[in-house]
Amino acid sequence: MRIYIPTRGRPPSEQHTWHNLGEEVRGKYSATLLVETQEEAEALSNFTVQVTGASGIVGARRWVVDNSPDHKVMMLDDDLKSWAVRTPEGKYIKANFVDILYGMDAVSLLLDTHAHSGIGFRQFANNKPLVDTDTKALRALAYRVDVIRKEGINFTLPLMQDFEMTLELLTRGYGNAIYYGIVQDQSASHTKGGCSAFRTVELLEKCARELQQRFPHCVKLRKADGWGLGERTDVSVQWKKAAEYEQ
Amino acid sequence: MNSNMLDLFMYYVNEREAVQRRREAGLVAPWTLDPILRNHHFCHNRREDDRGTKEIRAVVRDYLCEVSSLPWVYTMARLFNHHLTVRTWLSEGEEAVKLNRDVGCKIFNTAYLVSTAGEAIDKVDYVARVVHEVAKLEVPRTSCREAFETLRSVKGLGSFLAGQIVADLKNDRYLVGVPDWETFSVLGPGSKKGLDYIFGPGTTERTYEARIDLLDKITEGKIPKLHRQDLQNTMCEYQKYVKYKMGLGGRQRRYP
Repeated sequence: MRIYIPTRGRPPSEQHTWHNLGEEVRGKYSATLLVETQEEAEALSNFTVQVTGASGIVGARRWVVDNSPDHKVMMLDDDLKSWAVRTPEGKYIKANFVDILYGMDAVSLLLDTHAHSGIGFRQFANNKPLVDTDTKALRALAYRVDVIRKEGINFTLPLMQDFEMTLELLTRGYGNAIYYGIVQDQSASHTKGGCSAFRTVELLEKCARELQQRFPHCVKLRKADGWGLGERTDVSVQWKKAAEYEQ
Repeated sequence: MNSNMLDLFMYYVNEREAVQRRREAGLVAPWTLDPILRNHHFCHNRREDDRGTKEIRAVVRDYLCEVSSLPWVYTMARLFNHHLTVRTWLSEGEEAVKLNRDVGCKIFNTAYLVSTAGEAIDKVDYVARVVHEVAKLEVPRTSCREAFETLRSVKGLGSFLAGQIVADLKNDRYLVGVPDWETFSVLGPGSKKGLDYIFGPGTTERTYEARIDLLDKITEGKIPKLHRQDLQNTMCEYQKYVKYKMGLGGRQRRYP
């Protein structure tokens, strides 16, 4: 498995995901930052960087599907600041690099039997089983790109393309398995850099509506607030229902 | 079904859990008023909380053991059941284990006995042979049951040890996400007695699954949530508790 971290507009000191992974994880899983331009690569000269020439997060994800030499990939958001490991009692405590390494190992193993996987997210994680199936994946997304290629699909939406791919695969009969032995979190959403550079109310609405139109049986539109954008259109997804549906 | 014995089982599990919580909270002993729990050794309800398991896990973490090596590493770990021996083997090899033994170091933990099945052979060589045999195997990652059956086919690994190794593999990446992660367990002599106390005589390999399933259902919400191997293990500890309570004798391990 290879780890890719699409990044945009974040200086070396704010490469939280990269730093938090630790050297062992980065080495074992060939962690690579993905940037659009040579100029951005030069600003990150002390990192392992790949210039994709592809625009935006969706471009970077498409590049991974089209170019990864390894069939198993993990794509991590670049602002994952905190990682926590599950105790035998189901509580979470701060993770160290071995916990993160074990988590990556687990996801890599899950990709032997599932087309998509990922590392769980902290919110509401306490009630989750160790491995949750046919469910939401967020920020730490793992895929079998050979399956994606075989299905002839790819990421297309400029925003919410993580939901898009999960829905595409679930509705084609490929269940997912999200590992909750460790969980990740970001410090805040919509911080400077990353998707915040182009995320607007209008674009969010456009992407939400497209998702709803493509998967009407399991995606509903709803109004949400936050991110300093005012009221915006978001989606509610019934993941299990998506998995039961056959395209 | 004997409802008194079922109630006693639920009492045992909950009180054992309470002992652990009180101890972890930093309270001073005694952590229970129950004289049996106070004076005898009982494993934790969750095997992952046991000191021996934690110590072995810590060694495996220190050596950043690769997933593919875990079956033989945990086979070796459970045959010695002693974390210092596991550390010695991983850092210096099996000959170093023999050297340690020859100078008087303890290399086996006596929680359970590992024999050479009557064979006249150095015990470390015997362990090494079993470990190398497992290293040659492709232990399936498709289910706990298949991994168990494969391990059990190795000469020197009976049902008990194979079950112990599967418990390690499922809690350390190797068997992550397999469909029977929650429900796999195997009958042992202790859990047979425990189930017999509750359901009456007749716990056999054939009736075991139905009985432990039923136990899981009727205790749901009344005891802490345990996966099936932990429930089976707890049943084994419970029969020890009953034995002490009824003065039935047998091997006793006192606490501390």
